[in-house]
Amino acid sequence: MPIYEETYRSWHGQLVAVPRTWWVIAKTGVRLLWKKWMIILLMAAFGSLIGHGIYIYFVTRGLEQTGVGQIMSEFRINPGFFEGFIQRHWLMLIIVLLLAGAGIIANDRKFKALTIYFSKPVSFWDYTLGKFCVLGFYGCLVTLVPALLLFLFRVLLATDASYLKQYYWIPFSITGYSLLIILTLGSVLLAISASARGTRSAAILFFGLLYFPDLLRQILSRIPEVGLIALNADLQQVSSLLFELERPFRFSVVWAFVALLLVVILSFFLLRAKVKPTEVVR
Amino acid sequence: MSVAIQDFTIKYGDLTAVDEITATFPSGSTGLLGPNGAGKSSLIKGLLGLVDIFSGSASILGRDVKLERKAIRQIIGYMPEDDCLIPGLTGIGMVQYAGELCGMTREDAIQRAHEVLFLVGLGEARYRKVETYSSGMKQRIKLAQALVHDPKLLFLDEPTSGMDPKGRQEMLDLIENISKMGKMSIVLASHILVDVERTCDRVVIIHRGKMLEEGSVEDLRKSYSGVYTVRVEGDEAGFVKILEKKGCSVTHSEKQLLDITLPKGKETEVVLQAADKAGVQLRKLVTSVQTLEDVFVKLIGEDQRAHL
Repeated sequence: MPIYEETYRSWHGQLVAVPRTWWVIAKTGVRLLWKKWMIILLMAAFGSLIGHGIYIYFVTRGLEQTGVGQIMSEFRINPGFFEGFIQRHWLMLIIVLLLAGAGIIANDRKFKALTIYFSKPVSFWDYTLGKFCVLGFYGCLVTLVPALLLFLFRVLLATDASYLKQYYWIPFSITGYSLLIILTLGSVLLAISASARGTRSAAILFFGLLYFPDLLRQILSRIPEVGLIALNADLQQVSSLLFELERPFRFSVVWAFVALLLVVILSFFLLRAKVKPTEVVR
Repeated sequence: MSVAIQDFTIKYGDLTAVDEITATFPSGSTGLLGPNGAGKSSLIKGLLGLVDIFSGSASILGRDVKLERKAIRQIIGYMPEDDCLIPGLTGIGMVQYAGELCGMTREDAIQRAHEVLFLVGLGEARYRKVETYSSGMKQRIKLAQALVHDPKLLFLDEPTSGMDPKGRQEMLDLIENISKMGKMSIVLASHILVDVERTCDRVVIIHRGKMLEEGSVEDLRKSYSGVYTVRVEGDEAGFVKILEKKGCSVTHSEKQLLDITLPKGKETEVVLQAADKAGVQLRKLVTSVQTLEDVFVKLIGEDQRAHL
């Protein structure tokens, strides 16, 4: 078979003047990861949503109407309930992010795809934003989207607007907290994926980075500031501010926020150093 | 003019990969010729902004490579030397993706990807994952992704590397076809002289990061045409000595045959006078046909001697 079966023909179409390459990278990345295991995980997240929905239904229609829900605070569908819902999805979020993100840059580096990307009109920021959006999409599907749906369900079950009037700010808190989690974990995972030798080592590193500092925090619980090194402790501390809850840890919320910000900045510096069009062997 | 380079330098730490090259690549097909490690790939990567430029300036299709990187990358195609693939995608998916990244609409990119994959001979394998492709197929998919948006200028870095002889011939046929049928200019970097000689009108020869010569293949052949093959009877050593004194370069090509390169502007009379002076009989004196390879070997040899 000859290499070409026809002669070369020019293309007479028009290229978009400024292509939104980050969007192309994001949608292709999402499509590539839309696989059986991802669908199972997302179904599990929505299964949990249905379970919580049933709970809300019984509490709202049953206990609150009979007055039991008003008396027993643990049955109330208050801001803590929604914060707790996102917290309960933590492990699911970690698994989804690991499956989606461990190889997201590591594989591109392994197959030298970065040379292809950067020979097109793609900048470092386009590439990083595109890859981040992939993680953001799947991250939101297990945190932001079900939590917002749950709030909507609670509002629809109410017989009047009093619940919405009292807690109109909860959707903003849900959005802020979910996006903060995704921004922090997503940027850390991107940096790890760009630095690791492969998908497996990236996954181990990410898991270690999340759970080892937390273990250390628990061992050294007498020194509250040690908690700052644990990402999930920092996130919980900030979430307590967003949902107007009692602080779970004894360190300052401001410091927790600064720690998260530093993690994001460091991750992007690492990404900047590792995401290069070509590997230069000196 | 496709590419204009002025004092272009690329450094990797202490290593100077491209050393103050000044050259122009007009429209048409230009070969970037040089041995391995000469700086061909670095020069292309520098032009595309894939590696940092240490000093100098360059423009591609009238656009500054430092200031208009995105605009340049949209209208050029680049086939890298390494096996670069986008994992997880099928052949058609990868080429379509490349098209969309360049600014094609999804529909246009899909249609064009099919067309280009048939052109490069991957029509049957277009729904296979790119990771499963053989070396030759990887070369072809790299070419397809570079061609999908019909670039105005195509950079090909060692396009026949890793291909079997048949595949190599087919790839060269294809490059010739693109060069003739398309309205695009081609810059082909290779250390394989035959590939460059066959597909390019012009050539830029580089060695150790420096440009040694540039011009049309024909002109280069002509300018190095003062080479004669001679057979002598008698004191060959004395004859060679006299020739060398007169500025000629003499090498033994075969048994009893000498290749004599005359200094520029000199005629065969120099050889006849030397033979007379040395008292040898000239049994053969013919013009040696110069190929691009002869020119290349001569230039590289001279450069290496200069560095000794």
